Formats: sequence, C-alpha cells, structure tokens
Amino acid sequence: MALGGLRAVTADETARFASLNFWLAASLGATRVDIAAMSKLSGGAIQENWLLDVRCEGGERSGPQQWVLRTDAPSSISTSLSRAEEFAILSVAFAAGVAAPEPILLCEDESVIGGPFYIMARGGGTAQARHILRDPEVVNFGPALARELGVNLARLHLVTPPQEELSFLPVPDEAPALHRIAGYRADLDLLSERHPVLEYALNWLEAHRPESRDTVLCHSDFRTGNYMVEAGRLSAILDWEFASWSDPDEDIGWLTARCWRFGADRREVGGIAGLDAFLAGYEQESGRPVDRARLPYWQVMAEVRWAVIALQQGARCNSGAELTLELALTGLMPPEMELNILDLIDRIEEMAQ
Amino acid sequence: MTTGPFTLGLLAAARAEFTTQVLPHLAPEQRYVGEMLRRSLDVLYTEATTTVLPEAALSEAGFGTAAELAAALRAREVQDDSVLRRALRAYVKRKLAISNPRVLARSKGRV
Repeated sequence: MALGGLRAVTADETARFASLNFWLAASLGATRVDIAAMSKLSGGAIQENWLLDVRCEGGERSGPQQWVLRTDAPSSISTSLSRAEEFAILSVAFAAGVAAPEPILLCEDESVIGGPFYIMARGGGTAQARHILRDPEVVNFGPALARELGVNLARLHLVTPPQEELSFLPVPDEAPALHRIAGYRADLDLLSERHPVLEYALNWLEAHRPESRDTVLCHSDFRTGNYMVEAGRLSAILDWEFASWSDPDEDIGWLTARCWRFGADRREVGGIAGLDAFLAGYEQESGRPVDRARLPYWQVMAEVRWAVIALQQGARCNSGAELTLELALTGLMPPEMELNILDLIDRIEEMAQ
Repeated sequence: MTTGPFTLGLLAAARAEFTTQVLPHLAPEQRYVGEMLRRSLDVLYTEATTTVLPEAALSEAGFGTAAELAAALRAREVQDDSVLRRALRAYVKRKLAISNPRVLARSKGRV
C-alpha cells in the first residue's frame, strides 16, 4: 500500500457505503454514527484503504474518531490473506505490544459495503519512504527510529506457533529458508522468461543455508514504506497481508537489504540508520543476541524475493491485466537486485575465508 | 519486436520533445508520471539502439542464451566458479546499462 494521494468519494461509492454508518452504530452500541469525511488512499490494486473521520454518539467509542477502513478492491484477485485473516494477525500483533494500528471492527457481512472489511485506528505521519529519507532531520531521528523498529520487531518475534487465532497460517514443515527457496523456484517457473542469476542465487542459498532459528511470527514485508513516522517517531506498522511463520532473520534481512535502502546505501536499516541502533533495540526487547554473520544470507534471500515480485509485476503489466507505467518499470528492476546478490555473495565468501 | 525504418528516429524525437517541451511544464502532481514516462522512453531508446547484447556475456561460461544457462543451473549441471560468476556479472551489468544506467554508474564506487 502506497500512502499516496487522497481523493473524495464518487457518486457510485456513496451508494456503496450508504449502510456503513448504520452498521458502525450497531456494532459499537452507539445511538448514532456520522461519517464526516471519507477519502480513498491511492495505490493498492488488491486492497482498498479509506480514511474515515466519524463522530460516534454513545457506545464503546463515543466522540470523534479517525479510522481506516480496509476492504478488497472490486476487481480483486485472490491474495494470500483474507481481510478476516489480516484482522486476526493485526489483533495478535497489537496484543503483543507491537505498534500495529489498533484493530477495531471486522465485518464479514458482504451486504454492508459489497465485501468484507475491517476498521482500524489511523496512525499519524507519513509512510512514504521518499518523505522520510529526504527529511533533513533523518540523520538525527534515524537511530532512535531504528531502535523503535528493533523493539517492535522483537515483540512480534516473541509470538510463536501454535496460536489458535492464527490457525490459518501454515507452519512450514521444513526449514523456512528451504520453504522460501522452493516457493521462489515455483514462481520463476510461471514466468515466460528464464533468469539465470536468480537460479544461481537460489542454488547458492540452498547450499549455504545456516541453521534455522526458532520459527516465529514474521511481518514478511517489514521495510521503510510500511511503517508510519510522525515527528521522527514510529507511529504505526502497516501492511500485514504477508505475515507468516518463518525465521526471524528473514524479517531483519528484508529490512536491511540494499534494495530497500532507497539509495541511502550506507544506512543499512531501511535507509534511515545503521544496524547498531536497530539491533540494540531488538536484542534488549527479545532478550537474545542476533548473529550478525547470518544477516547477509537473509539479505540475499530478500534481494531474490524482491526480484521475483518485480518480475511478477512486470508480467502482470505485460499481460494487459494491469497496464501501468509503475508496474512496467518495476519489471525492469531485477538487474539491480541481481547485482546486489552477486556483490553480497562475493562479500560473504570473502569474509568466510 | 520488429522495427520500421523510422522507428529509431521516432523514438529519439519523442524522447527529446517530451523531455524539453512537455516535462518541464507539467503540474507538480503530474511530475511523477512525467518522470516515469521520460524513463520509459530512455529505456526503449537504449534497448532499440544497443549493440551490446546482455546474453552475449554468457558465452564466456559456455552458454548462448539465458534460458540455457538457467536450465543448466536448475539441473545443477554448472560449476560455481569464477568463470561463471564473471559471466553472470557481465550479463547483469549489460542489462543494467539498458534498464538503469544511473544505478550501474553508482555501483562502480560501491562498498
């Protein structure tokens, strides 16, 4: 989800949401709910995110409220998690003390707005990587923000299977790394072109797999662009649709991979700060040290994953299913990740000698 | 993709006119799309005019096409050695020269 521009409700959408305030009132035990303003966030072909300013009279949440409504886009294709499953993950993360948006209500009755949806609290600030990284103050607030990210990721990683509310999430019966490698090979097989550098990388990942750590609840898209920053502080962690049980270092590898530093290559943690502050927060909260020597392996895995996703997005544009420049240009990105992969593998092997 | 006798000139002209006549005058909210269009035209032009084909770099490792090498790697028929890595790196750099020469230039001083 890119928190880009906003636009007001169209006439069709007004009809679509006509019953929403009544449903909200009934669900919250309020005598009345008025929706003062509603606007759609741009970005997201698969989910829609709507900002709601509401006023509740009575009930659990009396007074003015600022929420986000998240639902399936009308032309949605099947995704890894349903809105109900996403709501469950958000609930578990929030209960674990992670700075996830507070989940408020889930509606599986499709008659209300035409599809399932949930309501969550709205965080302040911005999630736009460009805004965060180009803030002249990032040099000052970056380390503290990185530490907050470490603390929150550690809290999430303290959630381990089994969790009854998350019974829909498959627990891999093989090492998480092997599970991912098999998945990416299957993804590559569905593309029309072949990619030797990614095949090379997958072979390398298979041959150099470190011993697995415990399997934990991972965000699986924890990176700059998916957390909100307000006045230099973390306000909310977003986009939980890819959450999975996996090796915790997979999340750290994704966050610190070069492909997610937005050009600020020397600031390993999502382009905002070096690793030390992040790991200090993570290790203090989790109570166990992170083996830094394992992270480059998971950074290679991250580069492979992003390259595969980028190829899938390019293929989606090429098929005509979604003709956008953004998807087409994303499809051209894999050589950048491939160069990162080759550099990383060279460096890992130099360090091992 | 086939090209006619005037395709390259058309591409070059479209790119030049867009960059000089249209892009500087776009409203702020259109700049992002404008930059994506400019980049797209750059890539199309470079791809249409390049004589340094990326796949040719794989011949050093004994392969004529990316598909052949990918299949051999999947079948574990290729040794991971310096020759292979050199060929893969040259292949990637040639692709980057087309898709994002700025990233390629930046990578030269990389730590």
